[in-house]
Amino acid sequence: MEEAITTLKVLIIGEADVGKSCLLLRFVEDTFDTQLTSTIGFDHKSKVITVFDNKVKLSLWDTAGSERFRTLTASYYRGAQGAVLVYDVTCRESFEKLDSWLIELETYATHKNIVKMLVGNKVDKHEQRQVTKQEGISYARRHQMLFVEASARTSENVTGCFEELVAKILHTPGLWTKKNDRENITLTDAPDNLGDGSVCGYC
Amino acid sequence: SQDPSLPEFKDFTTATEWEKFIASLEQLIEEWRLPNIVSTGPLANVSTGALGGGEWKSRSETVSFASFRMMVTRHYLEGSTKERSEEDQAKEALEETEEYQESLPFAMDDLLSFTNDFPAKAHFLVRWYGIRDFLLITPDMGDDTISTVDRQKMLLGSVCTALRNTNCQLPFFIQMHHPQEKIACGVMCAQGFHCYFNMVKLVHTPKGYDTLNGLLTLFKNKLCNSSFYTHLPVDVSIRFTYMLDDWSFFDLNSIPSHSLDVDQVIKFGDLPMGAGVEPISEFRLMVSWPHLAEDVVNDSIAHSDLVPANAPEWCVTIKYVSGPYCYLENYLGEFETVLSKNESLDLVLGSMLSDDIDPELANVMDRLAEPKVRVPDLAASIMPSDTREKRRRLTDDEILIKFMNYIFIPSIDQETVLSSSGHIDFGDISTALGSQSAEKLEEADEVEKFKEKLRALKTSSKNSIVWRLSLALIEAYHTCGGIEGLALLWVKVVGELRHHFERGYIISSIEPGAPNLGMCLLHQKIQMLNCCIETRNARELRESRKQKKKVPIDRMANCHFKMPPQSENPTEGENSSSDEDFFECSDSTSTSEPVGDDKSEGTPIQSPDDFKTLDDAPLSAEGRSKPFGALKLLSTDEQMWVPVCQQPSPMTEDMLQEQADAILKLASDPECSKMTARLQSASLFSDMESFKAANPGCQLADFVRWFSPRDWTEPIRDEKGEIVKAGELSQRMTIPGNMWQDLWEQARPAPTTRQKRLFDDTKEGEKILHELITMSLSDIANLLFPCIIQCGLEKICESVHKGPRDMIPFMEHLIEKTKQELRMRRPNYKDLIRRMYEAEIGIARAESLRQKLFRKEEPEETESSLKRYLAMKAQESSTVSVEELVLDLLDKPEVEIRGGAKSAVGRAITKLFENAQKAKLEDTTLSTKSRRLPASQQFPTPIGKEFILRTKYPRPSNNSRTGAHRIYAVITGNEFRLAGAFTEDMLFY
Repeated sequence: MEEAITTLKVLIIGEADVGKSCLLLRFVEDTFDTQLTSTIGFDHKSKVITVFDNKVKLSLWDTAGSERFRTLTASYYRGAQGAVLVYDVTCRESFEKLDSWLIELETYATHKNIVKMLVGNKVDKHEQRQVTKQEGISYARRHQMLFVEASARTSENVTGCFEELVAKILHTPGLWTKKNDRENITLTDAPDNLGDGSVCGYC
Repeated sequence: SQDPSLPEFKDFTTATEWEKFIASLEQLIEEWRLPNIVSTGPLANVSTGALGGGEWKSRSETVSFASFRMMVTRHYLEGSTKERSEEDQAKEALEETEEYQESLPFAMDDLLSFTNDFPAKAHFLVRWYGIRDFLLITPDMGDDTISTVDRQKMLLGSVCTALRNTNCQLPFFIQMHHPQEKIACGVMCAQGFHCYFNMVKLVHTPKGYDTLNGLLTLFKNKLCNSSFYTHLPVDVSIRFTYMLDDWSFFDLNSIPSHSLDVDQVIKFGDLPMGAGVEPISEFRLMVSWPHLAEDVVNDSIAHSDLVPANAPEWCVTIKYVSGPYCYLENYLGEFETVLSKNESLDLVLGSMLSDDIDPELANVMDRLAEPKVRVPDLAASIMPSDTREKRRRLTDDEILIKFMNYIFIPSIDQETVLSSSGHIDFGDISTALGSQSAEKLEEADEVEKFKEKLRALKTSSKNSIVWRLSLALIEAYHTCGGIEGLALLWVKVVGELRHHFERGYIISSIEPGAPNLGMCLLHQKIQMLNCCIETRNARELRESRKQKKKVPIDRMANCHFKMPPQSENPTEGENSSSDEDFFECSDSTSTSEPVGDDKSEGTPIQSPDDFKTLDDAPLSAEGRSKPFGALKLLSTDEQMWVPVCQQPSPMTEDMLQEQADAILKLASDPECSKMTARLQSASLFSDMESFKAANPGCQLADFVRWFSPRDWTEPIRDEKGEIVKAGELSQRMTIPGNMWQDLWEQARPAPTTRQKRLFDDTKEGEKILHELITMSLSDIANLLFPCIIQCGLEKICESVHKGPRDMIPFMEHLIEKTKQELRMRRPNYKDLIRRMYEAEIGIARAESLRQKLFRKEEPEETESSLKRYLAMKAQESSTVSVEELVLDLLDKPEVEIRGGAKSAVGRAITKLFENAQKAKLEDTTLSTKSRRLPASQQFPTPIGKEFILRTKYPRPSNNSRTGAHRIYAVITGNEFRLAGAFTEDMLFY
């Protein structure tokens, strides 16, 4: 099997109980577990996916949503190329707290042009919906994010969401480097496009 | 006679190798679509100096003649030729009858064109024949060459056949002899002309043929066997090249040497920079007379009109010394080698011990063996000890003190230490530029901008302790015995850090607070040490207050005495006044509550033992911070309190990485998923204990309401306030045996004071100090390099305006690159140093050029004040144009000088050559001092003379159509070469 061209670090953040761990579990193992406990601190999963015929290894960091873990989790923002911000469409509060997560991201992320994806989770619970799709869309537009509504339970849009994020990261210059990729700009040695190298007529 | 029903076979089964070869050449020509190639117009239209400055491309393929492999390459100037479109073909077919006679094939036009003589940079065939598109065949068999005449004729014949069969108009050359000889012969077939290219190369110049007159005779003889054919007008282009490569007439003492001499003052924070040798090897002046009629000038053995002062065109080019010795590169590069040295400190210092037995060092070794014992502090090392040093080493106390003082004692004038380098005396120019102070300000702004950018690097703040430490250690490496000096100073520094740690002195000159992950690792580690020191100081302060009456004062005073103000910083550990209030209160007899409390719960504190007896009994509360809104505990209906909690421990990036790695390892196994949660639960557990202590009688649901409110559903009440549905924990919290429940059951009510410390300052501090003292040299160098690189970049940025034109974008790119690189776990310092070297060379070259060209005119005293004023004005304008020249020279392979000898720049160059000539003459005759030399002696004899002679003339007979003929001659000291192109009409001969 060919090697992954790069490893991308992706964070999954958002309020507690919006389904971050469930989304991740659905994406990585394609299962849904109602018995998942509230995440303590951090969890990590990885998956290799293929985008544009390139294999990309995703290093996915699932964070605890609870307030008191924040100081601990913030330190893991370092070096992340992508962030998935999750809210629960059946819970307005989780949507309203998005601002504070964005501030968090801005403060701790090392890549200034980190790609953000807004995910409204739990769309399968139609009758309990509190946040409309339009609200999600306009919020994402205001903050230059990708947006999708998904459901970890029915797996609607889950894989697509991560693939889209990766595609966007790969298209963002300067955000990632290919393994062993080194560019060469020289100052003193002008390019010599005559293989012969006859710079001067004689001597 | 042949039966038409039978298919017609063509039989190639008996084709010879020769035929096969020709066929393969033809195939190649067809494949590359060359038969229909036409020019896009005269070369002058493509662009000026197109042959030298345009974009040349090439395309190659191998062909074989029997077993002899060869490479056919097409060299062409992009955009100068195109494939004839079909319309054009049709049109031309119509016009053929007239056109055929009129225009020459384009390659022949090129032979006659004088717009592209002497291209600055081109293939030798282009230089000699002025062609824009050609094919070249070279042997592709290692050392094998085409050197016999029959081979040459054979190939030439094949090529000729192929060209004619395909109707390809491009010149086709055959590389003869060794490629270095640059000998080729070739042919071009077009419109019934055959043009043959031939060369002569001799080691000695035949007498008389190094002059224009001699060459003209030769050319005419070749064409019509009669040198007296005077009506043959010959166009001439001439170029002479003068060279300077001996710079000894310059007083080189203006270039300072950063010698590693023993007696030299150690300069901290000022990295050396500049070239240690002359970076310019040759300065060439090319003067040319383009497009002369043959009879305009006279150049014979007896007399020559061809002197530089008369030449209408002047061109300058320079050659550089490849890889000149540069101070900064050497300074950094040498240290870079330490990165690959995996020796431990013990080993290095051990070898030092065996060198000269030194009791002091033996002591160091002892202490290294047991890191608990402190290495002598600054005060101790200041104590004079017996003299024993012959070489300069850090074991020399005076030097050691200098180093330690620099590192640990911040000086006020630190900012001003880095002054301008002043490597080359540039005073006269800066005064001349005085009027352009606005420009100066702009430059200063630019430098500031760079420094601002450098600040964003992952290093340490300028002049912080980490910065000084890094620079002192590299200096120690260079001036005080290499790795031994480095190792010894490192040991001393770590000893001093330990001293700070043990005595509770905050390390100064570094920002307070938790490790800043945006800084380099060493910066973080020192910050971490400070965190440890602060936390411990705070703890000891509390303890001492607690036992105010019992504890002897001296220990506390000791701890308090030297504490700098930073220690009060509230960011770390159990923080600030409220904590201390609380802790102080906790050991008095009553729990007076912190600010905002209603004092209702001031019951006496119980001994810790009582806690485990009754969990649900209303106990006195401890460790309350503030009420949590209006929430009441579910079972007791008491006010819910937010407890005082332990802050999570500060971490450096390597600690974070370690933890992340641990999680990564565990998380890959689903079974261990629980383990990762367990690993990270220390903080949660501590919070639970605090919560229990602050809220006696609470339950997990209460805790969840504070800690993770989203996991609690509030009870639903009807209009009368009756609870319809009781509040409940989320499903995931109620799963039996989940981590939260487990932890809750295990947690005892305990305020932070009685909990296990989350941040063990002693352990963490010891860990860092131990790590530092057991590092290998390569680890140490890795810690130090970020600051050193930044300092080097800063040094270069200070001179960024002295560099070539693209210096600023180059440095911007380099800084960006460094920014990326320093974020990596193992930055490629070698690459960064190489790039910095490039910048350093660029600046050194520019400075050297300025030094050469900005020679002050010797003031002539007889001049009147007006004259002097005019001279000054002239000098001002010349300064600007000479500066232009310097920058142009660095950018382009060849720089044309407008106005030639009479321009300001031209005068500066003449002066340069004249000075060199004077110096040369002074060696023999001392009389010429400070006299102007006559024009004929201002320049040395040219190292190269080039002549291009061309004409149109009917050959081989008078009835033939006129074709183009050209000779290119170059005469250098040890080479006489003629490259001729002569055309014959194959239709009318």
